[in-house]
Amino acid sequence: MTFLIWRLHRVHAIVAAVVIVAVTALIVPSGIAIANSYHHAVMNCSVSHVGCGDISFTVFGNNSVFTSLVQDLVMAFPLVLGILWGAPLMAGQFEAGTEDFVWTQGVTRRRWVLTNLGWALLAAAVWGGVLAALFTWWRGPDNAVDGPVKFIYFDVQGIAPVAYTVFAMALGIAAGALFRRVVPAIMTTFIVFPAVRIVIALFFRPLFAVSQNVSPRAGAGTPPLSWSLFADIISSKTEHIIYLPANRFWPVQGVESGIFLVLALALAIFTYWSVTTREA
Amino acid sequence: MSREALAIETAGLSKRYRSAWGLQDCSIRVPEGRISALVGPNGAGKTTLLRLLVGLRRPTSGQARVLGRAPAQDDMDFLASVGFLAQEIPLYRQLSAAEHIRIGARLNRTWDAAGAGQRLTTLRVPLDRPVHSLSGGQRAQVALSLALAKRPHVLLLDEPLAALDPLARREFLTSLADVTVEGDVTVMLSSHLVHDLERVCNHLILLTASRVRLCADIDDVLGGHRMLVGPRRSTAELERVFTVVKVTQTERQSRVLARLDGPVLDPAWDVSEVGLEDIILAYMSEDQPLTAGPLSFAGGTA
Amino acid sequence: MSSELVKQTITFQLNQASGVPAYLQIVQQVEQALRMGTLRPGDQLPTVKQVVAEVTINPNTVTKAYRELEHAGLAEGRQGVGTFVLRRPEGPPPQEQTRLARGLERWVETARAAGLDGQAMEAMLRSILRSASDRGVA
Repeated sequence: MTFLIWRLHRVHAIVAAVVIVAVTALIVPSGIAIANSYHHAVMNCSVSHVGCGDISFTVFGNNSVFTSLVQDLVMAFPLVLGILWGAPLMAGQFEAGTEDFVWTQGVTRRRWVLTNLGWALLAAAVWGGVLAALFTWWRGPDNAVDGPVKFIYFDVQGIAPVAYTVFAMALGIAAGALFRRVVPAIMTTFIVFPAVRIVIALFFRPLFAVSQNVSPRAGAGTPPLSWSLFADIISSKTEHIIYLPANRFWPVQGVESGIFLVLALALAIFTYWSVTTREA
Repeated sequence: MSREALAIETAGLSKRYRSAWGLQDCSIRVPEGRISALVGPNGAGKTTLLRLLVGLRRPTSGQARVLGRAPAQDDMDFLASVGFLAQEIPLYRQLSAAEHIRIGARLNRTWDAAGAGQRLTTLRVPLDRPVHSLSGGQRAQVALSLALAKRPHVLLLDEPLAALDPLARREFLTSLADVTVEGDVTVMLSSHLVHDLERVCNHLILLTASRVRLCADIDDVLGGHRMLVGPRRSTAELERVFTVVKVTQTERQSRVLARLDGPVLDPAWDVSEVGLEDIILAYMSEDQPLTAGPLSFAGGTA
Repeated sequence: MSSELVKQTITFQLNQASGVPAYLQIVQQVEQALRMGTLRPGDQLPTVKQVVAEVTINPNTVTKAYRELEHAGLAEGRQGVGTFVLRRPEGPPPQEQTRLARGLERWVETARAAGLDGQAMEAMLRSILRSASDRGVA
């Protein structure tokens, strides 16, 4: 069964591997350059007190197009994987009628769906993990300057990308099992995945935010490296701010990843039920 | 006629879909070793019956036994002894015949890979080209070889001839007949074309509108039906003694297709034999009174 | 395959439209071959596999036909080897067959000259055969 899955999906696997290798080849040199540049700038600042306020621009200013491009790639990767690999996984087989083939070759429905799910979600976790690791390393200097919790920065590093990728794959597969047609599966994944991501990012993360009233003195206001969510001037003496501090990065990562993994599990259970109970 | 072992047996098998019955009250018997033709118009329930027999669908009521076991998709012994060929000829387009054989070797307990390869080579079907580049007839032969390689005792085929040209049909039927020469295999294949099947099949199941109308050895069907032709008259007399399947009346003439289990005493009737296709068509005519129950002879069932 | 090594003695043809059961057609074709001398006592009849490959017919039909021939004493099956011809059917030898055939040809010419076509001749022959069989002659 494993051999069959490999043989059917080896093109997908190879393409994904090539993409990762290409991304690595792009990111690693860039990351090294950025790190060097950053350390120089920090040294200049601490030794000769030059350019301290400009570190961000000095290090990242020239790379901003490249930076956002790579960031977009990593953001999009889970969705792309879910659409190109997850959605056709089951739906393609149902459309071609080939699920009959395995079922009459001595493979029970249970075994078929579990093996497919297992390998697909594992692959998703691995690809997501590699990209996350790469990008977390690459963002090292940027995190020191700009903080890791801002929207988009948060989504491409740590363990969250793994959870997003696994969720996207599970979503694609579940949509395929539900509709048994590739196109509806793709469309569903394309709509639902970003929707869920946005809802959780915009409504769940702020739950971890800190709400404070501060007096608007120089140096006060939203602490550095944090994600500023809201600022309102109440009076000349107080400002009401809501922000997500940088030290909440890992807790939020952990819980958000947990949510997505639980959703993925629910989708996997749904897929299992759909394939083993519903009849073709 | 002695009681033969039954390869396939159903009792009151029924399947209801959301809005309609796919199969109603189906009770059939197929003795071992037969090549059975499952015929009927499209939508009559042939695919439903086959999928119920192979365990890809669960019945709404009634039961089925194939080689003595209830069909179940998670019964490994069952899967090993029953081969199925679906209408769409499900093969992985991008894989070659040889790769399919290799996959089958890993998935099945019993697997005759060498035999399958040899069979296809004899038929001059290329083993190393992706399946989508083969002709319809070649693909059907690949699918058949895969179904046969696990050495099933029952082979169920859903409209295997539908997409084949006449030569490919002939070759496929020859292959099927050849299979039964060697082993103890029972075959059931569905089709809405009768003519080709008659050469190779010796058992018939006729379905119309989700019900069984005939289930018997073909020799018995041919021996049990006669065409009566005579000057126009009422068929009431006949209908009291025999089961009348179809009556055609013109101004001058009456033509009756009937099941005869005894001699026709009235000399005004000219009695002659009827071809299988005509018998089947008569049962499929819509404007005929439904017979009380499906016809089956000893060896079939009631 | 071994069936290629055994040279096939005769070939068969199935006429689906004739109304004659398939197995009977095989029996008749064997008997005819015997009458014409194409098959001789001691010859092996084609194997079931060979007939199936050639005519696309159910193997049981061939088995049934060969069993009929065994019943009639015309052939005998040898386990693991095949079915072999024992003797010719009752009836005239080939020369006599040819002579009778020529007589029939002459009749056909006469009948055609008189205005009967092929179908009318067949119908006439069939009804005569039927009444002859009723009288216990044919």
